[in-house]
Amino acid sequence: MTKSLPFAPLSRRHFLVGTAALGGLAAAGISTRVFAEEPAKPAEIIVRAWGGSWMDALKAGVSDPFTAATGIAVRHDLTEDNEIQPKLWAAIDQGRVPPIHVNWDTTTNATKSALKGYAVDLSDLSNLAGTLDTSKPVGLDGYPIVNTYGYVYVLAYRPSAFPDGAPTSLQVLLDPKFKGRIGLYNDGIGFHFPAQVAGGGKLEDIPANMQPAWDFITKVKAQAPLLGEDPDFTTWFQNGEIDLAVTISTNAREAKKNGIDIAWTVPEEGATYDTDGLWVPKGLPENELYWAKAYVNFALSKDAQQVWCDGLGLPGVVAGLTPPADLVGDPSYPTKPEDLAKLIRIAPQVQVEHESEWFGKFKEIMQG
Amino acid sequence: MRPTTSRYPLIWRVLDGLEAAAARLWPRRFTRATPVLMLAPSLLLVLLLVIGLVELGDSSLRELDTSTFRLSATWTGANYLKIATSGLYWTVIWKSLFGALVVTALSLILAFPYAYMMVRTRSGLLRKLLLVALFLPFFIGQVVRAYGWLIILGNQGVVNDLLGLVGVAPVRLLYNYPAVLFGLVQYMLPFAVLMLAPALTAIPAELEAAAASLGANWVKTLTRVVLPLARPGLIGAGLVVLTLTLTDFAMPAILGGGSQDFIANAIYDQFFRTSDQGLGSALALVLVAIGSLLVGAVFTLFGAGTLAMGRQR
Amino acid sequence: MKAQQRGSTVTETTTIPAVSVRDVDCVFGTHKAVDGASFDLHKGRFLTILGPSGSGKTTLLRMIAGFERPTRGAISINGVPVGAAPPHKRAIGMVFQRLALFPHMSAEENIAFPLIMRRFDARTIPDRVARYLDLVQLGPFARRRIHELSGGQQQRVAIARALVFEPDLLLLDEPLAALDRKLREEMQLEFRRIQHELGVTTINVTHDQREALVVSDEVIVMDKGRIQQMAPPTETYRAPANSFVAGFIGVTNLIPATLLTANGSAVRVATPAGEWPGTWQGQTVPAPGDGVTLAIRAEKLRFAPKDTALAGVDHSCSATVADLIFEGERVVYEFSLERAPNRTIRIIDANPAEHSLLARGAHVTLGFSAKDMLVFPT
Repeated sequence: MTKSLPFAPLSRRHFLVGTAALGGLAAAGISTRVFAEEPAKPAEIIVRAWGGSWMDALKAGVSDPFTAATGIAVRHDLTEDNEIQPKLWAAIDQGRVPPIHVNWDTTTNATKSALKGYAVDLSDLSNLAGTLDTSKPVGLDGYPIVNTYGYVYVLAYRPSAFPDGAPTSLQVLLDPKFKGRIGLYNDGIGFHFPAQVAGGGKLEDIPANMQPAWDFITKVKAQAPLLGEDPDFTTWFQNGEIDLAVTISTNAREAKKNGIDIAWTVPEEGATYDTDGLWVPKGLPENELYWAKAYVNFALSKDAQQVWCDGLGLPGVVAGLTPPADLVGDPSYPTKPEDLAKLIRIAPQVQVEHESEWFGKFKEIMQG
Repeated sequence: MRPTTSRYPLIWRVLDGLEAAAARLWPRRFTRATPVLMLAPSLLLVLLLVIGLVELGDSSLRELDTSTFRLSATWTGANYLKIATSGLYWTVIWKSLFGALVVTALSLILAFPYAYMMVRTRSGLLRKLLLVALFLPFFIGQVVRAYGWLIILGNQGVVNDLLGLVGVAPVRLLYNYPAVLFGLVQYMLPFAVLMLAPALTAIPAELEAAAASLGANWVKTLTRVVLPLARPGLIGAGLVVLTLTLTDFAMPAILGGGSQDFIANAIYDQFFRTSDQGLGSALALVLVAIGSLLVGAVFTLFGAGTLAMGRQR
Repeated sequence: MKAQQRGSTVTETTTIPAVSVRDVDCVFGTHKAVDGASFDLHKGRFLTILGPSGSGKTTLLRMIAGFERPTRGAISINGVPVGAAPPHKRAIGMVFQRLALFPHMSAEENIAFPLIMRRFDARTIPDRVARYLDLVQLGPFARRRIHELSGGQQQRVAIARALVFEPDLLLLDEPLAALDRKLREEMQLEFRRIQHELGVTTINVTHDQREALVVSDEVIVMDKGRIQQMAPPTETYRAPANSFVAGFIGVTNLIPATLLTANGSAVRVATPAGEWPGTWQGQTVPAPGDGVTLAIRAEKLRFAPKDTALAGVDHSCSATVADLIFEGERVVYEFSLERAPNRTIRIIDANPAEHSLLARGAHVTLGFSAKDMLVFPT
């Protein structure tokens, strides 16, 4: 899943602004010696990344210190995640060396590659020992993907439209006052699960019976919501087109940083929690595979996580990270098990299996 | 004749040299094969296209297994069945088709007077202005233009600002079907004008003068003389606009607010969002079929000589 | 102006002219295409407007048809000022330079077009179309498409189409210009025949002097936007109103000269080849020393081998043959004058079969009659 159009110059990733602190990296005592013997070092390894501030954060937190520690240069390939996927699959199908060493990907997308058996198992990475259980891909054997941070699809709102305080429930979406002033993703991503709860259904019924979700979405359709991609939400809030949106917290935070009066909350129905991760495609030469895994291992070290995730403003998967000052105690920045309990997590495997059907159903309702 | 003393022009020497080189590379006895040589690149391109279509056809007959994310080993009609039984795809196909027809009609209606004025005006300045106004949008891509409309037609855009001056509350002008069609017409207009202009240039102005002297007012001159003679241009322009609109992606994506998808958007979703190459291929072939049927219908309706091809002069 | 119309035959002075043009100017930007044109044309007459390209003849025609508006002046058809009436409100048939037949219609559809446009009774249209197809001898070709007809047949369709609605006036805008000579001459006679048969008032525009003389009752010669002369063809040829008309029609030798003496219309002029007699053509009495132009028609000169006497000539001089052009039924000689070797005189020998041709370089004597040596003010 990409959250931007292929031609749109701005993707979700670009909206994460955060100046990564570059200090104290060399002193971190990072060990890259995950294996007993070091095979030959390649001149460089290629990591697919999202551009802009996303790449800046990765570079500052992971790539540059990795180069400093190992002498291996890191090149960032900015091909869109959804476009690299068919290329990777084709290369592996045809027995060619894949065009990248490490793919920074959404967990849902990466799960597809894992299910195809195209991802290398990363269970033997030494730094996995220090990670929270959110780093483990749910429902897959071993670690074909390592989740590296999470994000939340919050209910973002314009405080001036809510003089009586923050909305507490998704039922607010049905308020006639907000007709035409609601923003949702155009495939409904992040909204299907809370809608299931809002429609009176149970999360355990996903995917077997999602009728409550469709019923609720049908009611929301009557409210003429705007449907878009990540960059749209910031624009819409900025241009006064919408008052409410279910969107990734980072979009809301970005709009706020741009000076727009905006706040966000996790409604009583809950909010979808999802993750991004790193994975290594099969078919790499032995030595390059070794150093690709070393890169992923390095990304899981606490110092790397601290700088990288600060840059993104998202909660990492290593215990004991310090959150950015503006996000302490924020519902979109879960750090404790009880924070996570308020959020809705659906196994990626279930998601990828039914995604097409859910997106189709959502679009069918909205295009009608 | 006295032998000329003037120098043989340089350009002649260059051309003679080129001709000699060409004769060496492609001797005269191969002359009969020359048409084949000329056709070879286009045949190669068509061949590649056919290979691609065959591949698409193969994929479209394989269903995606979402537990392994691989296409089925055996052929099945499941993808086509899904398209035929899903309300979503009927909606999307209908929206594309109806949109293409409306946009084609509007583009031709708007392009005709523009092209006519450009071709017939006696003022060189006006013709230049019209040409510049026509070509300017070509330098501004479709996406940039669509974003331009977002700025102009948005709730805080220029149009709503003006409405605000006369006391009208902001109106949602964007993110609906008419907005998509509006953007498409604006995008297609230059194509239609460019296709129409040569057809109108080919109609001698004298014919219109003749019609007038024979008693036809301008309406009758238009309907009895100019339009029938401009038919090849109108059909050519119509076909271009129709197929471009039918397969358009950016306008529905940007101006549709996510709820006005055309077939191309649905194909994109399958290939790149849900990674279902099978369903994506099936949708792509349905689009090819609809396009071919429409073009075929136009030819059947208006005859094969429609585009003024093969006509004796 | 009055003087230029001096010779026009006015046959129906009591009736209203079919076409009346009064002091008409047509200005495009700074260019005066037509300058003070005035003439009357009576019903049933065939007028040809003759002139070189850019003389304003087509503009004058287009104003009559209604495609251009006069900047000044008035045009009346059958006594009714047409003013700003658009072409389709005027009852004028026109045959265009490139014929302007409708390529998407058959011959008969082309001919029926003006009848439908002018709301003729639909029941009478087929008969009328058939009648006019017969008139132009195209009956068997009624259903042919335009591109399936020959050049001459297309001409006939164009004529029938312009005449079928029985217009007050037929305008021909050089429709024969693109034809080869044989077909052109054939069509000239055809125009003549049809015009006589129907008696329709006709204005023809051409730059072909032969055509003007062959087909017309009246000829207007135009130059630089001005009407130079309006007269029947014979008079235009025999009594040109000025040196332009004299030079434009026929093969004419124009020689710049200076007036020496004048006695009535008998004058003597100084030419590069000496003192020659002539006949004064101007309206005003000339003064000695005035610059004049001497015009001599090529067929009015006589010649004989050197030292052979020429009887009945007023003046003779010596010359040599510079060039000769054999055209079959006639020979055009170019003679170089002995006293002015750079000045050549053209002479047409209309009976070349009766004697052997002169060779280049042969010495001859040229002879003139004073009445054929027309002297115009410059």
